[in-house]
Amino acid sequence: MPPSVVKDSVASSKTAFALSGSLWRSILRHRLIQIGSGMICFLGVLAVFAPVLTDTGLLNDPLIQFETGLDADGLPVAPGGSFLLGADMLGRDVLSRVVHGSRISLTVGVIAMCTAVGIGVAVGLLAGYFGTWVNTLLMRITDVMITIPGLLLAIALAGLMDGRVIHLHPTMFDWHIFDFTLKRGMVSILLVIGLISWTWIARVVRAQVMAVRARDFIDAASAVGCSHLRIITRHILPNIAPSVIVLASLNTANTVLLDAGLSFLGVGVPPPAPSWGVMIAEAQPYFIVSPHLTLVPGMAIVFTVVGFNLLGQGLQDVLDPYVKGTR
Amino acid sequence: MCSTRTSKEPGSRTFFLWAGLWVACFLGWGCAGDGPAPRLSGDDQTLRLAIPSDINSLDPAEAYDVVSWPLVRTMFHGLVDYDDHLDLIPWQSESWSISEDGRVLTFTLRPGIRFSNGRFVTAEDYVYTLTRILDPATRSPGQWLFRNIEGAGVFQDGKADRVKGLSAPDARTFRIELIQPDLTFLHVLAMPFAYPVPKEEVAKHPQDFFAHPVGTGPFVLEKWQRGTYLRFEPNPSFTGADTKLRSIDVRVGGDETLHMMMFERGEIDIASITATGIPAPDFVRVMKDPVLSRQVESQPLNATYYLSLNTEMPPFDDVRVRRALNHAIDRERIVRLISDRGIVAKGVLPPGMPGFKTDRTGYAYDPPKARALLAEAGFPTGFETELQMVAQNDTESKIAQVVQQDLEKIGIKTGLKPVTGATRIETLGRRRTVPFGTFAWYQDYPDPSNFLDVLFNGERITEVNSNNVAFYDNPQVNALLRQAAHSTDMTARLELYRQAEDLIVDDAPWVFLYHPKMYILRQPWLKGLKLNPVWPFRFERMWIE
Amino acid sequence: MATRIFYRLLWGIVVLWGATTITFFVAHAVPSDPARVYAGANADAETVARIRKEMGLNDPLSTQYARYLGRLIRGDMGVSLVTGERVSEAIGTRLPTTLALAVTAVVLWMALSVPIGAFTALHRGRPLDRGVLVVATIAISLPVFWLARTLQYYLGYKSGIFPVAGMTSWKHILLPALTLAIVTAGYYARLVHTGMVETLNQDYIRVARAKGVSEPRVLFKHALRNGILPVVTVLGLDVATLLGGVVFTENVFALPGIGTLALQSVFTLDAPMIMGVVIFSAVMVVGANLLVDLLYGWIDPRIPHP
Repeated sequence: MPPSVVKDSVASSKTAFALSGSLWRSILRHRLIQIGSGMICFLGVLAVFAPVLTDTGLLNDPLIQFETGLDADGLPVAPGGSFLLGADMLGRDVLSRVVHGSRISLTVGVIAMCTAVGIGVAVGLLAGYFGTWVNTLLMRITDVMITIPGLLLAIALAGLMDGRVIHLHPTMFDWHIFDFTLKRGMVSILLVIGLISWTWIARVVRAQVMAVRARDFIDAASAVGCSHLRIITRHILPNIAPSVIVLASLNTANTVLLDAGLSFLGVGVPPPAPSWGVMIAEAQPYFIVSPHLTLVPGMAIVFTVVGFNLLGQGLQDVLDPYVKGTR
Repeated sequence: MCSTRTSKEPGSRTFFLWAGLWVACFLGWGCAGDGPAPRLSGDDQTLRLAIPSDINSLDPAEAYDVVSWPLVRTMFHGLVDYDDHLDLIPWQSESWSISEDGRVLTFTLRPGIRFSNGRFVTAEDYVYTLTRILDPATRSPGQWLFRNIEGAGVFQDGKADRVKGLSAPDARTFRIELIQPDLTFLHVLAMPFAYPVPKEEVAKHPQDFFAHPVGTGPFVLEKWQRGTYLRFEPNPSFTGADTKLRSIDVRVGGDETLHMMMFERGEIDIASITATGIPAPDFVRVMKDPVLSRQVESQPLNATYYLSLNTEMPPFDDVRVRRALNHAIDRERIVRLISDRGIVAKGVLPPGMPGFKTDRTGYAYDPPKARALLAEAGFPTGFETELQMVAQNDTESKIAQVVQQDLEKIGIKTGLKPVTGATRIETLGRRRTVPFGTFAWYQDYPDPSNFLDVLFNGERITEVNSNNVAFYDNPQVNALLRQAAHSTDMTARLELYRQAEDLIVDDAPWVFLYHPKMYILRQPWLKGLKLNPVWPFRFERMWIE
Repeated sequence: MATRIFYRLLWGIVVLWGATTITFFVAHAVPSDPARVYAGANADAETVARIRKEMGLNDPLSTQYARYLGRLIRGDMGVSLVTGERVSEAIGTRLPTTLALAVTAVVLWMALSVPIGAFTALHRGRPLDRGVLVVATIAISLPVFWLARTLQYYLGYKSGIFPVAGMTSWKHILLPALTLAIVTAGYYARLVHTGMVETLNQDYIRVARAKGVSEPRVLFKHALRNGILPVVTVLGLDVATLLGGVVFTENVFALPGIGTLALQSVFTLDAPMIMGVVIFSAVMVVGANLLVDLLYGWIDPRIPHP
């Protein structure tokens, strides 16, 4: 290749993806991104300040079972009056439960997404960059994980979380440093959700990495003598960053829904934690008499997921040219 | 000069027209045809029922739950039955006699009774049936009830090819010899396990007789589409009272709320035939409804809902802690939260059980006393523990959270550990595994031994699958139970059981919560439904009007 | 071509084996005693022990695994530990319901999303497009079980338009299929939209328009055929996700399908049934992937076969 072409390719890679001023502006101006991030920020603020609101008395404690929450027949009070969104079957304030529930849903959703993205990017990156047997091996593993129905696997894995202790030491030694307990709680649930959602991220990332790798400047860089690590961190990662960002947002929408679904089936974060999915599950027998118990948490879930979806779609629109490499 | 849009391009108006067409189409399609309508005439003598999940087996040797038994009993009848006063009466036997020492039972069979395949029943069939229950290959969950029969042990171990204590001296006489005298054995014979099955039919379907049942009852299984529905029709060979029903249709699937919705739309006739009956949230609405409330039938169940305290695991090994828990929990509130569909439990036995002590005081709701007891036991600031419960069950979830709150008030921080029903049964019965868990016991038959001996006898503790889930072992109680088991004097027995229960309640291996009451709804056109503490549903006695 | 198919099949089998093995060990790792579940809560310890022995559950796990694989190769998926049904029969009887649900749902959402996607592609940027985008986003953000419950309550119980639950007539499949269709249509509509937008920008469309080909013809004969391409791919690969939605829908509407079977088996820890359901779904996914791979190569010859 003539030297000028090499120089141009290498030079253009530097501007391939950087958060330039114009990029920021188009991000901030995009309507969908505005709405989506607005919704998420609103939720985030609620989630962060929920305990404060409760402490100062503006919001009821989500765990207290109020006698006034139940009417004379022992049934949940409808929305209105002292309970803005009504009370649930144990007399707890639905409004405060929904607000506090955002803490759980957002935490699980975001961190599960980080897990999924972490695994997915790692797998996709290695497979796409190194190719050959690494690619084949990793892709087959991904295929296996895709074929096992995620929901069933999640339920079964959640069933494993019963407080058992896993000893991770070689059989000859009797160490207990590496022991860890599998208990059902937020941490185990978000790990489970992360474990079943990484596969499509891996696939997309791999395709992206292969596309980037095929570009001239990578060959040039390696011809010049850059190590694998350098190439990955300086050239590949920045170029797949736009897709990963979009994937992250869309994946969070997915994990929040998954968390709700697992809680609905009774294998999510255990009660009395006000997880939205659990609230819907508990509301099931009360559908006829107290539909608000099902509708309110459901709308909260929809609101959250819509927020992440809009953000993701907006980002996709703006970052699409970067993803395609046409910019 | 290119315009981006020609007049021929579909515009937004077309779009909305198209959308409107969709909605109209769908609603029309949905409304078309015959929707579910309530019965219009009494000509249709079909009983329509719904159950939440499919029955596992219609083989009387295998069926062992509240939903299967009424259905099994439409196809199979046996030696003895209960009348409305819970006394045992002859059913497909004519009479019976018990020897002086209480060890030998002799039954005279009623003549002329046939299986649904046309063949007459003989005493040999009963010998075959009970032998089959004891045969390990049958995997009958009820085998434990028949171990007291002479020769059962050696037969089960494979060292004999028949059970010595079962014999048929002639075609109409069936004789059982017991190892130890046991006044409750007649109750055992009233359970479906002892209802006769024909040997030749079992031989025809060695692996799946449960799907091709043949018995002496008034109905036969006409069709069973697994997971979807079952249909029963009258047995032409049945010699007892005629049933007016032409068929029983059982639909599978849906939870109790769904069944309630189906009932209100007239799709099913009873809501519902599961243990809970009317779902708790709808209960109040139903009782207030002038029409529906007249269609309610109720029956206190011989069952107890409790919290198991593992007496082998600290801190529950200290009786003061156990008593403290009993004082700390507000049972009245729990019963109120389940819409009063239960009776607060003062002890182990439910009120309908013979030997129930009516003036028992039980544990009063007394948080200060609870705290004092805890302090005495060395926990002035309380402790942390975990309550195991089944999450999918709405009632249990509620109870667990109430318990959590009540215990919090006396300083015990309780985490909740939700598990599935299957896991719960396994873990509770395993030694030193679950310190604190919710559970319930429903009677097998109306005798105190079925509660006290099975659940609190220290000599019955096993490493796994123990029924004594509190792993309670009190030598005094064990002695009383042993004595009562082999007594031949009913009054003396009941007195011994009363004393045993006193000791047990005092030792508090459980937090005694409540005894559930069953409430069901029947459609106004369904007649002949009369609840009974042992057999709530006798479908053959019902009809449609 | 034949060698490609052969290799694909081979890999498919390897993937199936991997999925089976992982599921087997997870299913048997969860603590529960099927013998206990089978015997019921009231049976005593000795009874459970005897039943356990009969079920062959006392053998070490590796032996049970080998036994299972051996039977599987011969086509014997075993017998349910809970209901005593043959696993293959159980799946066979439940399959028609799930198929009916899935096919109806697919038809519904294609009928929804293709026109919507096409319309919005044509009116790109206009209020209609924006409006549909918002509605579509809300649609894909709805939790399936919640939508199912809500529709069941308002359209089934309260208004009586549709039957509430169960599967006693063909009408019972409409509402569940609609539920599934709503949550998926939004996503597919966007796919069609994007595909159509790209296609409509292609040169050959401009050429066709310039040549004076009528607009509907342009749309249907040219744009749609290629715009549909991404949809076909996704449809095939979506089989795995479809099962997830089916599980919730069947659960809420009490449909006797594979989804209900799957849930029941996982909650009762019925290992042979869990295996059966997972293997079945895995076969579906692998098969669908294979089909899409081959179809894709056939539909668009420009795409090189890797």
